[in-house]
Amino acid sequence: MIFKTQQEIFDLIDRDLITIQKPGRYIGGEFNQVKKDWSLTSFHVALAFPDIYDIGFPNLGIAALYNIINSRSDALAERVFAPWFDMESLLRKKKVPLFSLESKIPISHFDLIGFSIPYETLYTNVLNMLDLSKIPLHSETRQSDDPIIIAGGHSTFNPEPMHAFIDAFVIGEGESVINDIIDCLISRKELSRNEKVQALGEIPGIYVPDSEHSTLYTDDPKNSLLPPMVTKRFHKKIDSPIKNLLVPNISVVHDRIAIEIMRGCSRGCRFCQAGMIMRPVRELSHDNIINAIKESVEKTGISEISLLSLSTSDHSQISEILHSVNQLSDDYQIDFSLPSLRIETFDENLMNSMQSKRKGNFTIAPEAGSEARRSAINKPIPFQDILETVEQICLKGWNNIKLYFMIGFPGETDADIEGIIDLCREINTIGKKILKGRFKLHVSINTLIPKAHTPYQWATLARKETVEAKYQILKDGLKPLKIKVNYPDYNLIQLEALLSRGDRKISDVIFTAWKNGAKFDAWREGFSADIWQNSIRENKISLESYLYEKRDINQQLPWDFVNTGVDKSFLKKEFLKSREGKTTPGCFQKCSACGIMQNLQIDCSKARIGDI
Amino acid sequence: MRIRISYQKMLSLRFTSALDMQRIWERSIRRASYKITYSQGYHPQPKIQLGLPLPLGFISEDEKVDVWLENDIDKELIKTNLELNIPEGLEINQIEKIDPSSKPLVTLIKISEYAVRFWDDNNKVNLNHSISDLLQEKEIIRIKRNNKPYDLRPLILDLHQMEAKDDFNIFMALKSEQNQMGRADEVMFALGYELDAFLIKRLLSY
Repeated sequence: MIFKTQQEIFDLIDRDLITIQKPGRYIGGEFNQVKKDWSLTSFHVALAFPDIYDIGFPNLGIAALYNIINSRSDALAERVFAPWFDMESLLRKKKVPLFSLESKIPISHFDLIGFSIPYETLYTNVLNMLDLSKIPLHSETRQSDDPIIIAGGHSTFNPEPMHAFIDAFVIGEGESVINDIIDCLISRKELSRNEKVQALGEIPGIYVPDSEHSTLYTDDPKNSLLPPMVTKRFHKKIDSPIKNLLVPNISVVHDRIAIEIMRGCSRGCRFCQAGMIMRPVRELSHDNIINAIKESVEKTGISEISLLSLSTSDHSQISEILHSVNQLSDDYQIDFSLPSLRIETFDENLMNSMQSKRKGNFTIAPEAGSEARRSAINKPIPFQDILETVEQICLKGWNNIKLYFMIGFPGETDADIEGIIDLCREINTIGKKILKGRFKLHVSINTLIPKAHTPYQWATLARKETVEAKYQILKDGLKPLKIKVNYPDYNLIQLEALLSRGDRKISDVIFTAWKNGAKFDAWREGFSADIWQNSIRENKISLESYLYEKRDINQQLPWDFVNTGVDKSFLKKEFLKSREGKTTPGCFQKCSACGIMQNLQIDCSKARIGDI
Repeated sequence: MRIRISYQKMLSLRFTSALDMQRIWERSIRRASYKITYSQGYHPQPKIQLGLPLPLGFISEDEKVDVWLENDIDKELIKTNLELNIPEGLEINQIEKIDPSSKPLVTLIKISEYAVRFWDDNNKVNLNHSISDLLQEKEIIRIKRNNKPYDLRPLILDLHQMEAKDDFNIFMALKSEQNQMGRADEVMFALGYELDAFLIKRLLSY
């Protein structure tokens, strides 16, 4: 035992964990877990994921940082996840602080806490985890012996809504910058907390909020208070993929080996934040992928593999990869799945190479219901092509088809909504004809959230009445098909939009909501629209101005100081082309000069294949 | 070839369910580079058969699992390789080669023996007394998970306080047949203890 408080933690594990749901979430001990000697290691990092273990365990960002930090001789990394409601009550009742999975050490004893925050509805959980660790929530109230709190992940491309709680934000790919952060803090061990945080701000790609700047929405086009530009950090070349070699002792989501075979996407769909902020496209070569699969299978014994990327079938070597994976699957007794396939590049050849595989779900994301709208969002897939693909995949034996749609695009008409119904009807007819009763169709209807750093950042959120009216048209039209359709709660959509488009003031809204009990906002068990509405009211935030008022295209936006590499002028052009229904070709068809090459000093066609 | 692995399940795997153990064995064996035989049919599954399920939270000195392997390999070699590839909290007692057509493990077991320890010594006070009171009951009605009442008394074959060994000081033997399954934690509840008061260890099943 290293700290006295650990006795309470061990007692809690021995005696009380058995009284809660899935206690295995809180004790670690997985095969390949790295547990270093605390006292012999000088720098201690807690990698925190603000959702439960089951969701966070497979996260590749955490896995990457865990490997990098633990391969240093002077530092260690341990994991911590958000405790579920029952565990939180237990911790509070017994007055036991949140602790790490590996050494069971209170989080407040670590030097650095790194939160990975992929989406905005995790923000209240970040606050809750700090509170359960007895760390002051507001950066400005932290004392010298409190750990330094950093955060990264997609959501932090607009850092300001969380500015009050995070000492330093990582903009971009954490693997590229974590060593700089640790080196910086180790070499300044004797300095004050504030000096350390300021020093972090000198590292490229790190944003340290201060009180001299602000990011409020303003009509002043030259908003002089905006913080200095921070350019994202990224890996120019991906040599070997991130491997999560830990093998869980309990069930988790995506309990399989995930190999990221490509980062970034060349398509440029106008609603897609990942497609803009993760440029340029970088592929992992066929040989590296196959070696990674072999190594992962040998070291974990896991037999299901998932080849991940934003658009897997766009990989320039996908045929060779699938060919080799098929050969491997017999020798190694493995199964593999390919999420995120694009209809344009998913041809018969690919289908045949997946022929022997177990047929699970097949997901198609037309996004919009009409060809005109699909052109406007720059995902121009012809109606006929979608139907032909569906026919092919049904003939090859996939029984379950999932369709993803979005509503609430700028300029959307009822005809676009009718188009969704027509498409579902046609697909259902084809599936039923080929597969009879075995065919199942699931449809998911999301609403466009005009995300930061996308061409739609100037668009407004569709109003509640509009969305509900469209839901009604869809419900009436889809009813005869007797299929399963998901209609997300508008209140949650609105919250996600506010948190992702927020400025500095939104920190107060998050704080008030957390104080009144908001947590697990992405969960049905957690989300409370009332708590958030009260908090918005209490802090005098006008949803009208944040979400619904038309924005001047020349106006400064709260995230304009974050440089993703894509020029704002490119986003503008794309926004205007969307209005005209004009498409922009994918990067490898024709470069549309988004700015990445100049801003990040990179040649995209070389970066794609790792020739750098 | 079919092998039977006897193993101990210790504290760090206490919260891994019986169902999850299936996957843990499958992956451990694959890490040791042995090919598991798959069942025939539309959804081939690796042939791994667990013995009597161990309830969540229990530890055990005597668990068993049967595994069908594609190749015939020396059992001691398997043991050596497997020991390098199992997670913390498992310890292999022995591996035997068994007749592929012999009956499933669960059908072989009639009785299980358990030891119980308390976390807090105060709970030991009056233990002897409450055990003898309980054993004098004609029936002990408990409620199953499916809300059906059943009589626990005939499932208790033996229950007594024993000389403490590693703090374990209650011994019990319970019927462990498929439709007559005595649960050691239910006996502890019947004695008046709460779930957070004790730890149960299975000693033996036969």
